[in-house]
Amino acid sequence: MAKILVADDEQFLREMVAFKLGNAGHEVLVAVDGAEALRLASTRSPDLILLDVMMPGLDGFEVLRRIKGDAALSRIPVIMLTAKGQERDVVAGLGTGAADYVVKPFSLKELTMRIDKALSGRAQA
Amino acid sequence: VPISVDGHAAGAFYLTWWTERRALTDLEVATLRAVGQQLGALLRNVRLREALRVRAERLSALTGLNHEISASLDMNEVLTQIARAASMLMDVPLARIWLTDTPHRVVHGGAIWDAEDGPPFPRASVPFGTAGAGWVADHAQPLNVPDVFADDRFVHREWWRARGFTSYLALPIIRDGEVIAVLSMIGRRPFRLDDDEQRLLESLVAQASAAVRNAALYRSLDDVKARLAETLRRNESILNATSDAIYGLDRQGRAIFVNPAACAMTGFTTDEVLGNFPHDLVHHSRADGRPYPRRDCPATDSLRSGAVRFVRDEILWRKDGTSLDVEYTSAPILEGRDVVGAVVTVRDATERRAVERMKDDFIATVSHQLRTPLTAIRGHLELVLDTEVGPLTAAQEKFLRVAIESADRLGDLVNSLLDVDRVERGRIHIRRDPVDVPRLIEDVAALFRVQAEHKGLTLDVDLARVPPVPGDYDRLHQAFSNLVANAVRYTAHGGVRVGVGPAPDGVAVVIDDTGVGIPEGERARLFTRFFRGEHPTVRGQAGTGLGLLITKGIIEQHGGRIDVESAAGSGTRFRVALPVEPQGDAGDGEDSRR
Repeated sequence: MAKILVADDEQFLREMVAFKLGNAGHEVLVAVDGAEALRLASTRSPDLILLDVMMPGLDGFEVLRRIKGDAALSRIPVIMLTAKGQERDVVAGLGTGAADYVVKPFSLKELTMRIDKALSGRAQA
Repeated sequence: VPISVDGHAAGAFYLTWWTERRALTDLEVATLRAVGQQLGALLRNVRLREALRVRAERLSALTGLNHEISASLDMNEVLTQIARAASMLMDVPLARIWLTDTPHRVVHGGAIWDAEDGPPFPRASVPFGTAGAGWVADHAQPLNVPDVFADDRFVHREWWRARGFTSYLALPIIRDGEVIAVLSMIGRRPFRLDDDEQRLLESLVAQASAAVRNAALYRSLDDVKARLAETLRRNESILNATSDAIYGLDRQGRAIFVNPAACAMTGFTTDEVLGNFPHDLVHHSRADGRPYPRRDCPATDSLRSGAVRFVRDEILWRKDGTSLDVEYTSAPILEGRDVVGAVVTVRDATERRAVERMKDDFIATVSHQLRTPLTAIRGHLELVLDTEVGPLTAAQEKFLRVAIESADRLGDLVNSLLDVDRVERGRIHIRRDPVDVPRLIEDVAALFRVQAEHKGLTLDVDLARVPPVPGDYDRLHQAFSNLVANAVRYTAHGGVRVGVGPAPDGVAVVIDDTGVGIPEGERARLFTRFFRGEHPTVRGQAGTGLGLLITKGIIEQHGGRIDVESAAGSGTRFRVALPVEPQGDAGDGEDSRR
């Protein structure tokens, strides 16, 4: 099973996703903002990062840019959690290295499918 | 001895001898007769000379009169000169023009020439039929009265007596069969007119008639001029007062008019604009700096085709190089069927754009605020439903499913609201990538295959080879998903078939179903907000009522068309045509800040 970092400023969403992933057997790290996400990404080297786009301070795109700009972190797949209407930006985000994106409100089933897909992609890489 | 002139006796002379008493000899008599004849001839010459002098004076007076009349448009001045000429011509001290007021059957005393400057006639106006002028106006005939004291029509005897006047002559001044004035002359000897005088008087009357008519024309011209000036002043003040910039263009697109608001808006002065192409001055480039050729300008289109064009979300360039958000209307100026120019009305759209930006931000914020709790609701329901926190009873599971479906529907609605707002303002951003429509339709069909099979429906695709369509894959996916979802949703038996094939100018996609159909009365409202079919078997079906509106917006942003054919009970066919050539300006200038 994998080590997954969940970065979202919304406590309920963070805990909900963590619960689901924990039940699925993953090890879950949580970050409440972009800065903490970056710190945990470098100190705990997760296998995958779920990154909310709209966070106070460093937003998801900025965090993504820094992760992809950091040679030590750039291989970690990142799935963006986004809102409808931001697809355009997310496509740009994919261009700068996001593995995938999920639009809120999302189904947990879909999210876990995409996580599995991203993890298997990493395994092949 | 008689003195004869032209065979008439004009006088006589006599000779008296004081020195002797005798008879005259024949020779003496013949000599005296000859002397009488010579005297007659002399007298005749003197008279002729006098007549010539008088005529010369009269002619000179009339010549002067002509000059006065042509030099003056003041009717009273002209009529006074005519009265003066009449007085000189007839050698009388007083002449006057009376002006007729036919509707009220009265004549008013007008211009007067009084060589003696005596007291005026005591009445300023007289009714038709009374006094000399009233009689002439009524009868439209000349009146020559040698002795006014022997005539009943002349009642103001004191005045006549006081001035010592006795004779009266008046002539009607007629225009178009109507007496418009009367020329009266008053003297102390009966009037006798010879042919010359008659002719000269007639000429005066004609002059007076022309003067009165000219004055009337001039007065009405003055009125027209005043009204015209007032209209111009009013129109100009309206055009000057409006805060919209207004350009009047000639057939070529050069400015023939520009209002102060246009100058204030752009910084170009009236002189800099008039005669030049406003397009080249203020509209030469697009918002992103690309050149904007004059032939592409909507105003040029108005001049060419006579179309009225309304344009939003463009910019004007000021003289100082800064730009301004504007919207404008270009309308042709038509004379008959010919386009002779155009009027371009430009409005500053800065405030509207600011409001729209606020609205965009507001909608984005609200939808985000709605989505976050919705995601939490849906996710937690899902956790419970998936028995990740413990086993469920059948009833619990059923109720949780309803809750999740409702949350999904709410989520669709929130997402659709964002799209609807953009569709309704024509602000959906469309990418221009080559889209393989058959592949797109396969993707869409795959999404609904399970759902269709679950309902016992067939879902077939029939894909022909077609050229790629320039467009936005995600948006087209959304549009066709809406159509296929509707087809599956509103079909209970049979199936759904999606066909792709070439169409004139592009690609056609046809979605057929064997569902409940759409009654005639509902078809017009199909593409409106929150339209839901009223058919009893579809009521209660999930859906936001916004899908078709969004679909139509997306198709139209691609330059395409969507039509529907249906009959209640016999299925529905949606036909979408997408052009292969990129469609002009669709999407240009919009969303450029995204």
